[in-house]
Amino acid sequence: MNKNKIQKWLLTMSAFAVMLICVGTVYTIVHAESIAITEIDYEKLTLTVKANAGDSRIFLATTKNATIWDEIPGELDADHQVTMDISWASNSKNYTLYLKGDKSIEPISVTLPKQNTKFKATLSKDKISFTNAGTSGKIYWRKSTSTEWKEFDQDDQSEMQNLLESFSLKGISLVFRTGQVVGTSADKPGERPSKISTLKIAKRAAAPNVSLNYNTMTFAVKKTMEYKLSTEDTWKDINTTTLNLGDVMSSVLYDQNGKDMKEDETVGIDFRVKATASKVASQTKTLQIPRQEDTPTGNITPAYTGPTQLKLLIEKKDVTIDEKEVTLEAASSSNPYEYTVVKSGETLDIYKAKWTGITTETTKISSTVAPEGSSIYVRKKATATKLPGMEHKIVESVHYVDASSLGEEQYNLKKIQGVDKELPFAILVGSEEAEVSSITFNGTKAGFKAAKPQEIQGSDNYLITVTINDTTAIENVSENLGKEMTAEITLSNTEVIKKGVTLYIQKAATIEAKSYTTYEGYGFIGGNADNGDLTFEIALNKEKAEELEEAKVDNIAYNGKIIESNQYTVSEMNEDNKITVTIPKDNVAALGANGAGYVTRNKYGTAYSLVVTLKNGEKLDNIKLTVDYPVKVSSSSKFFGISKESYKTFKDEKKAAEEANKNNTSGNTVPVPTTYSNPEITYTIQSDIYKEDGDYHVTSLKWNDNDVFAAGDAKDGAFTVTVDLDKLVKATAGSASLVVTLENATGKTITVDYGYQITLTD
Amino acid sequence: MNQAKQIWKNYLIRIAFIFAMLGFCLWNKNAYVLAEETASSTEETTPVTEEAKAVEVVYIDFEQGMIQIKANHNTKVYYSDASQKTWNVLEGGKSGDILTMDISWISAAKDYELNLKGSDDETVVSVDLPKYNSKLKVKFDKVDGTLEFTNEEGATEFEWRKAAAVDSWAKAPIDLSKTEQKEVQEFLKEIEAMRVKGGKIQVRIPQKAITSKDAVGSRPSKIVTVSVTKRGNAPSVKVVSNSMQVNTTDKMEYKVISVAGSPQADAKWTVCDKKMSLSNMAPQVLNVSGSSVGQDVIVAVRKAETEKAAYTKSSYLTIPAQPGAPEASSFSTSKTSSKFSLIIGDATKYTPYQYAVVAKGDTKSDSDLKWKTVSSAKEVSFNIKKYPEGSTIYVRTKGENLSKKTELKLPSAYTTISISYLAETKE
Repeated sequence: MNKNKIQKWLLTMSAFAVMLICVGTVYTIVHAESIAITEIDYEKLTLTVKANAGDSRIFLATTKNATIWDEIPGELDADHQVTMDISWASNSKNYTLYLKGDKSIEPISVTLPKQNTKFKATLSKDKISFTNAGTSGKIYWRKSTSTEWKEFDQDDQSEMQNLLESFSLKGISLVFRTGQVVGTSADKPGERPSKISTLKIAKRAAAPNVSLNYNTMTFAVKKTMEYKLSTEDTWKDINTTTLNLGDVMSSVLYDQNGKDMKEDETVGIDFRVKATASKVASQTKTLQIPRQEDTPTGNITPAYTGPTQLKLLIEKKDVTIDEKEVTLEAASSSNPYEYTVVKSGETLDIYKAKWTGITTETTKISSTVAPEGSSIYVRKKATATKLPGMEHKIVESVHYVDASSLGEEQYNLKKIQGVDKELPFAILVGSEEAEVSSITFNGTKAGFKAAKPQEIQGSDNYLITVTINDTTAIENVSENLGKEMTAEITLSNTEVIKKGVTLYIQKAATIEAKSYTTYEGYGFIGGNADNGDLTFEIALNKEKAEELEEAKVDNIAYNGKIIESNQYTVSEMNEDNKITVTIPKDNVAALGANGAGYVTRNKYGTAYSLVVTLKNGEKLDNIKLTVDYPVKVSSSSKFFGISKESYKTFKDEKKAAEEANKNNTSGNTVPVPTTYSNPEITYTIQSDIYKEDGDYHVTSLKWNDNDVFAAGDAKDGAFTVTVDLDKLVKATAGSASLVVTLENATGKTITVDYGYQITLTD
Repeated sequence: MNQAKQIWKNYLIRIAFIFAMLGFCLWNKNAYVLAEETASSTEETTPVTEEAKAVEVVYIDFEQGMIQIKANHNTKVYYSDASQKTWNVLEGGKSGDILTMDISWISAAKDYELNLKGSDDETVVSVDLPKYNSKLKVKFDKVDGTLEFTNEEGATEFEWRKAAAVDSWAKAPIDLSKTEQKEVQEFLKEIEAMRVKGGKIQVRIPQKAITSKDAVGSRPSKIVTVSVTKRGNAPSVKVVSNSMQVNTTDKMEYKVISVAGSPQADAKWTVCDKKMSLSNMAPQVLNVSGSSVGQDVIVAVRKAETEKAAYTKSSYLTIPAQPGAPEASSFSTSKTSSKFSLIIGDATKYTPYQYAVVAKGDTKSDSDLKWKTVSSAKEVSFNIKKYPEGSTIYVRTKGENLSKKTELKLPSAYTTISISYLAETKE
């Protein structure tokens, strides 16, 4: 190598070295350590600066070329750092700060980001979600009334959901914000916590109105609701409109836990409307349900009353339950039960079953309701506050008894209209509960008595002996007489027997008077002489007469006393089935005699029955015979009464007045009393007597043997007498009949000592 | 590489710090605690097996606005006000046997009697929720940088936080004179940090939660927002290099905080004189020929605290050590019998010198000297008449005031030149 080349090489190398040194220096200068930002905490609003080794102080300015720089107070710590407050820097815009050291005078800048104002919290179906939540990944929350923030677990929101339940008590506002991102350098200044987003939690709506239908043991609900037992924590969804008590709360059922519950113990069940996307769940409605009690069955007895009917008897009875004496009351409207029938092959669903009320001791159930083979359940009916009692199967399988009938027998009953007769027969019944309700013939009821069903040896059936003892109503329907009628026997079990018993009622005989029925002629010969004998005709009903006792006259009674058979005659039955009875006139008179025992004087003029009794028991009593006087008082008044004293007073006053008037010259007369005047009484004489005997005239008028005649006049079958009061009052006080004596031209006398009564008092 | 490691280390420290803070806060706060009862929530239809007792209040946290109630096996808990007329079911917030009741709806402005009872044991439990202290007044003492409390109703502690921050409350004693306590120190430090730009803090008296042991509690008081006033700007002071004075007033105070790069930990604030000379303020900076060498000093100057105002921010005067007196080689002298000449050979436009002359007999202190600038090697002469033998010339390098272009430079110590003349020669 020549010298030049070496020199050149050395020069190049030197230049290169210098260049390196220069670059190194420049590099060092350019990349000399400047002060650095090490932390920006937006929660505390502090910014930490690390100074260079030579710096003693850090200064702050808000513009780049500020003339005044503020010293950050505080000593640099061991790491040569100092922390400044940035709470004054507006968070609504990006805010740039400049910092320098007292030695590191080249300022650095940092831009504090503005706050995120778009952060939003929304609540949807108990879950809170966020939009524009920045990059910190954290959310904080607090009540709007609180000042302390808590971190929010976005993934597991169960704690917040639980809190939302308690917040919905009155409603509340919750405030959310994002977390900060701590700045670590000027290039990575981090992120402020966002502006708050307020979430309003509404007060929960009022509780739904749910109640238990005690009769059906169901809750009426809506699909928007949910339920749980009060002691549970988890709500169960409802997707029907009714809930069966046993499905949600089986513990109260007697055979589950109800029997172990205390008398006033209840189980609570809660209902509420489910939360939706926009609302929390409503308030809770709690119902307290009492235990279900048992239905004691010791007093419930089923019995078959017939082939299509059974009955349930729920009676008052003393029983022992759990070693205690208990009196069970009979079923009534205040102690109701109910039953349901489960057809053979089906099972009981107490909720869907149709329950029929029992409000009386005895309940009848027909076979259409409970067909053969079905089961019958009975339970106590619910009240407004008590569940129905637990049901019990009272009848395992319905099996009806045989139908009732007359059996092999045929009863053909016969009687005569009007003649009482007992007509017996017997019915075979399948149940000892059977009773005869009615017996009708052609729609009309007959009176009867029926015995209780009696067991029949060697048979499952029973026998009821029945006696028809009153056919009056039937006999009153004339179409029913004289023809065979079939009985329709109705039993209490609804059975109707329509054959086996017949009834034939023979028409009664009739009687008709053929002569007079009033005999006037007491004490006189002749009497109804011209009318002659008393006769009447009896029409007999001959049909079927050969089966009944002969329709012959057994006796005749007048006013209850039998007339001797030799006093009358009975003819033979003519071809019209009629017989005639004749009582000769003399015998008729004898009937009227006072003392004969038929009629007494004081009953003269009264019609009494003449009863003809036939041998077949028929009594013919529509003939009446009247025995009467031939002479009668025709005046309306049949009585007179006077007192002596009042008559005297009258007489004195009259006299005084007449005297006064006699002497009166002024023209003013004193009234004359007219209280008493002599009474006039008129009598009539029976025309036959009168005609035969001619006129009678009054010969005397007496009262109690005292003459009281004032006047007397007889003419044309009548006479009038006048009582002299002056004479009367002289007699002794008493009460007696006025006695009139009459005489006719031939000297025949009639004494009428009846008809007009006078009473005289002192 | 080192820097990266350093940054990473810092980051880790910060994270650890944050967690430590959080942990501290959580432990310290009246935290909302969920019950840990493990009673099964899937109980079926088994009737209550445990005998129910009267409900119990476990905890009332006014800040969180909630009451924790022990149901004591009551199926339901009911609540009512003082009248006890209507009882409402407490719905929701059930976890096992513990119920959480939100009470944020109960106005803090009034005393409220809350009554509770169970559905099975109906003993009524009464809780008094007192109204909050609405009369609290807090004033910022801008001189001391502390708080004055009125109507704190016997409280010994208060809570505070920056109004703009979402930080949690820090506690401090109401008696802020207890500066040995950490909470006081933290508070005062934070206040100081805020006084750079000013700001707002929120202050309140913290709640006293009601527990089963403390039946009497109190709500947090009304929050008072207190303005923390900015410290006044640092006074504008500068060193007048020529006179080696600082344009201070007697309202200011100064502190030499660094000498020759070492922080002066024991330095104390001292009141300034008006137009204080450096020799008084920072004599360390002076170069005393033959004695001490000058040292760089940093002096902090601020307006002192008055009755009404706090001390201001500080200005910092970085004063380089006074250069040493000029060497004799930097100048030359000549004399005649009537003229003394001085030529400062080193004087240039960029390296100006100054001289001052004091006639014999005149007594002038250093600060009275009138300095003339020499920026070239031109002759400066003095005549005998004015400046007789024995008069003194002082020479020093010129100082430079701090400006955009120039650093502060003090004039050097001076060199003394005695004026002498040649003796007069007759003949």
